[in-house]
Amino acid sequence: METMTKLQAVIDNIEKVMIGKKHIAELSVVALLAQGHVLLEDVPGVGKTMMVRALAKSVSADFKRIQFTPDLLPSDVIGVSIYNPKEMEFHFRPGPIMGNIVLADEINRTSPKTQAALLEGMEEAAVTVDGVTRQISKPFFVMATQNPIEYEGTYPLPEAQLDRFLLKLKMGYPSKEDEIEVLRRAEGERPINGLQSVITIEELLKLQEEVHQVAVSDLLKTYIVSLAQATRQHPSVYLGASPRASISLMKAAQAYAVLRGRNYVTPDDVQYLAPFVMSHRVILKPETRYENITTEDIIARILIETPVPVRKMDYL
Amino acid sequence: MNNQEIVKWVKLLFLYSMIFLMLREWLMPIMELTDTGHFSLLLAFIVLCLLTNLFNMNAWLSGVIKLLYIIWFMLYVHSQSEQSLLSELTTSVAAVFTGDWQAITNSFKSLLFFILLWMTVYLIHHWLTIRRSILFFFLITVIFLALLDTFTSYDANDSIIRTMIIGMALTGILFAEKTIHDMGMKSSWKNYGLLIVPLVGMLFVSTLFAMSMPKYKASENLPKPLESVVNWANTGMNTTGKIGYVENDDQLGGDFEADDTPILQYMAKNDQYLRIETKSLYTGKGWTRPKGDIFVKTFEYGDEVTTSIKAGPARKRDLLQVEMNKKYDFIMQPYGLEKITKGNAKSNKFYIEMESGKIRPTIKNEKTSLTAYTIQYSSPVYSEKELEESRVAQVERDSGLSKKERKEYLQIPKAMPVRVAQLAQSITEDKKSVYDKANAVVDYFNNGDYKYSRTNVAVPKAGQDYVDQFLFDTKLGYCDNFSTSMVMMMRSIGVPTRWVKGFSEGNRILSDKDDTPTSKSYVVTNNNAHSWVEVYIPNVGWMSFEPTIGFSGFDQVEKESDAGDSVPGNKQKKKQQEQQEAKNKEQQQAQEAKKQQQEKIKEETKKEQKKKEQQAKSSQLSAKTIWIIVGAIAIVVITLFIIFRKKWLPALLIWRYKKQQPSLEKSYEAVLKRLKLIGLTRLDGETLTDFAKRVDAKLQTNDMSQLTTMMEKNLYNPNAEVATWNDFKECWENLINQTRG
Repeated sequence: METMTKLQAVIDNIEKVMIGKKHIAELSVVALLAQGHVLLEDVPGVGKTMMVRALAKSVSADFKRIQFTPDLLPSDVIGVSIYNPKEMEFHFRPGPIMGNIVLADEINRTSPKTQAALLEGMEEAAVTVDGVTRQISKPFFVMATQNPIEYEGTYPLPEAQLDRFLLKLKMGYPSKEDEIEVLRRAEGERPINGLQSVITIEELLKLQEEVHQVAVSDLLKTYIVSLAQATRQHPSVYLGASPRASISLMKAAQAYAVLRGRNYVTPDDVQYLAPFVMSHRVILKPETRYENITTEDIIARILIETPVPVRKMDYL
Repeated sequence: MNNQEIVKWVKLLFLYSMIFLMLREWLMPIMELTDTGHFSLLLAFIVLCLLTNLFNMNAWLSGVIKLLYIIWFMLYVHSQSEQSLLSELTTSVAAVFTGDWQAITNSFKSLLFFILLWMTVYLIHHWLTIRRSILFFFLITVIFLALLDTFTSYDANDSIIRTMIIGMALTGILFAEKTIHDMGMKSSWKNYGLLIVPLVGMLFVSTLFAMSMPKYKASENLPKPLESVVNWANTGMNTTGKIGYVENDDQLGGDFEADDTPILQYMAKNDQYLRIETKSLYTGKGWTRPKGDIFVKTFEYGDEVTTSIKAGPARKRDLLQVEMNKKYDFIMQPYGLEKITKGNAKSNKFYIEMESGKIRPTIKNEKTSLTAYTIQYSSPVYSEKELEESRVAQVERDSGLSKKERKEYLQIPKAMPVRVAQLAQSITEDKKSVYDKANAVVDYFNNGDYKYSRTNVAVPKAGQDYVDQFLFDTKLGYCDNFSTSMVMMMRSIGVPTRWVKGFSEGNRILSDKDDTPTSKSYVVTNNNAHSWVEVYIPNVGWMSFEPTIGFSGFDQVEKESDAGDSVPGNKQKKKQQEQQEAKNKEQQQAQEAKKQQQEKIKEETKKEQKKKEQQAKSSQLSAKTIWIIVGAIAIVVITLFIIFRKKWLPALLIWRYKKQQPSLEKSYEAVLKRLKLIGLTRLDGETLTDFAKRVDAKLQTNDMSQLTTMMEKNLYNPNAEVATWNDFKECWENLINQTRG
């Protein structure tokens, strides 16, 4: 119960800044709990940065921001060793990735080389410079944003690298009422400045541990696997969800259960998270794309068609 | 009562009154066609049923009220009957099981009818409140009325218009209600107005549009809708029709069932053939009228009427008093009609259709029917001498017929086989006068080859001529066969002839009070519907002939010499025959009357006997009957059990499970099954929580969600304790009870 109120406080905090984006806030918290990373895909100006900053402030964590540009180098991300003539040795200057909560803004604007550096760091939670591997302090949470790829001057992320993100979210434009409320709040002082942290890093780490304790019954493991397999067998799909996707889905579901104050995962958790976990890991056949069918449509279809296990013998 | 309540009640009241009016449209033809009385009491019952439904009265209470009403009705209406109500009902029930339909009493029929009404109202109530759709009932009503209008004597013209209006109003309101309900709008005046005003507006505009469209006038000329179907049903399938006067003769042939329903009674000096109309256009299958307008002449009470038949001399003048039992919108004419002296309705005008001679009474230019009227007539008398002098060749020069009429009355269909004309020629060639030729044809039918019958009468097949079929193939038939054949034969030898429809003279009523030397009473039934022939004798005029064997025919020819003492003389032979027949008939009638009287005397004893017989019968059958009744009750009970399984199965289930205290999984499974029965099925990809939300929204509880949370914990949390019966029994029981509906 205590964990729930803590997490709820985080979400409430974010909601003070982000209006009408509760589900994004929740899902970000889920990713944070599951020790995964989030890819936010949307046009500029809908509050991606604000979202991450609000999250960082709520957790009183070290917040870093990397603005990706075409000329950004890997060392600009992970850090560089600089020779100190006074002490006659190389000193490591950590790059911006060495933070607790990192905003990687417009990740698809930079060269694949630099993207790879970031993604490797994300996966390993460590950076290697000059043969020395340095752990990134926990918690480590990257929230990358990207413009939709049809915009000019971008380097689309390779599918294999997309797999590194636990969730892919889309902000979307606020509704009319919400946008009016946004304007109203923007009149005075920026509310982000007044945010107080509501959870300490230690508490967060404890919560992350708690996620591992959440029970996933065999029924649900079966269900998750059947969903992943359904994406692989679907006639419109060129590349289905990988086993890593199944693992991600399970982890996310565990985190979501914690958020909901449960110590076990239900099919509802899986169904809710599946689109966010899977849609960026599935590649459609070209002819399907021409028909304007999206991966989200396919996954929604699969969720409807795959039977939910409701009896103990179902998974046998 | 807030505004929304008022709207609800106004709406319900409106809907129910519309339903009442619609049911009234059903009841009216039933009343009329089956001669059932107490219309208002039946309507009152419908009102009672509707009211109990409207106020959502307790089912038991409303049932008792309705039953009381039915009992009161039966006591009130059938109080005159000798038997007690109970014994009547028991004999009726016994009669149902023995299949003795005649023995079923009226009270039992009323009881069944009431039950039918009860069920109907309940069904409509269901349609209104649950389904919110009345289109089906509306459609059935329209079809019902259309069928009645087409196939029976019931005139549903106004009824169908009323039904359409009521039906439109009902469907409109229900549609509005459905929309409001589905969209989750408030049921306020404003919302109803928003939906109904455009509806009414549209109706208004389309009505205006319909009214501005050109329309057919004189519906007389238009065939009735479905008329061809009716004819097909009556003749094409060779089904047995009921005898009687029908206006349509497009398709002749087929059997007739005897029907002694009285049509009218008349009083006159002598028996009279009653003429209704003539027809001139023969199609090869039947009679119809030529295309074109119908010319009419009008006259009023007391006006001298000129018909195509010349009236006889003054000494033959007489009054014919007609009392109709059946409503016909035309006048029955005796031969030699002079004027209509009076009638029961204040008919302004009579129309006589020139072409057919049909006389129609009208009030304010609307057709009406007189139920009693008096006609002054004088039977036509023809001089034998003049008749003998008539020749076929004179037809051309005779001024009595216009050229158009001559053509009309000589019409023969092109497809008519030649052998008909050849036969006519051979029969008549040795006769000189037209009159003799006509008599030769009449006599030909008496040669023994031809038989009168109302059954096994053929219908001409496609391509076959009705006359040809009768004359050469079947040689069996009734008046239509004989008369139509004679017309065609006469026409084929060049004599203008037409076909006449009406009633033959009917039977004498032998009763003491009405019988005077100058006027006798006759009753004409459907059996007397008849057709015969009128031949145009050059220089003489139209004269009627009776070709059908076994009918008395006309007594209208006088020899010049004995014109004075008014002894009629047709052809000698025929006259004798007729007299003989008339005598026979009278004797027969006298005997019948005697018989009737005897029967009357014996009536009491017979009744007693019958009762005894019945009792004996019922006691004989009692063992069998009891078994049948027991079986029937068993079937009814089982059927009821099956029908109401939704009600009692849950109760049984709860009782059983309370004893067993089964696992959560099993109990949950039972709930899912029950929900499936009431139409709530979980989809494959639906999680239990989602399903539970759906169920709770539908049943307006949160028991399903509670139970499901327990179930999910049980399913998906391996570490959780398994919930026991006591944890979930309450939700579970509530849910099962909810599924009772």
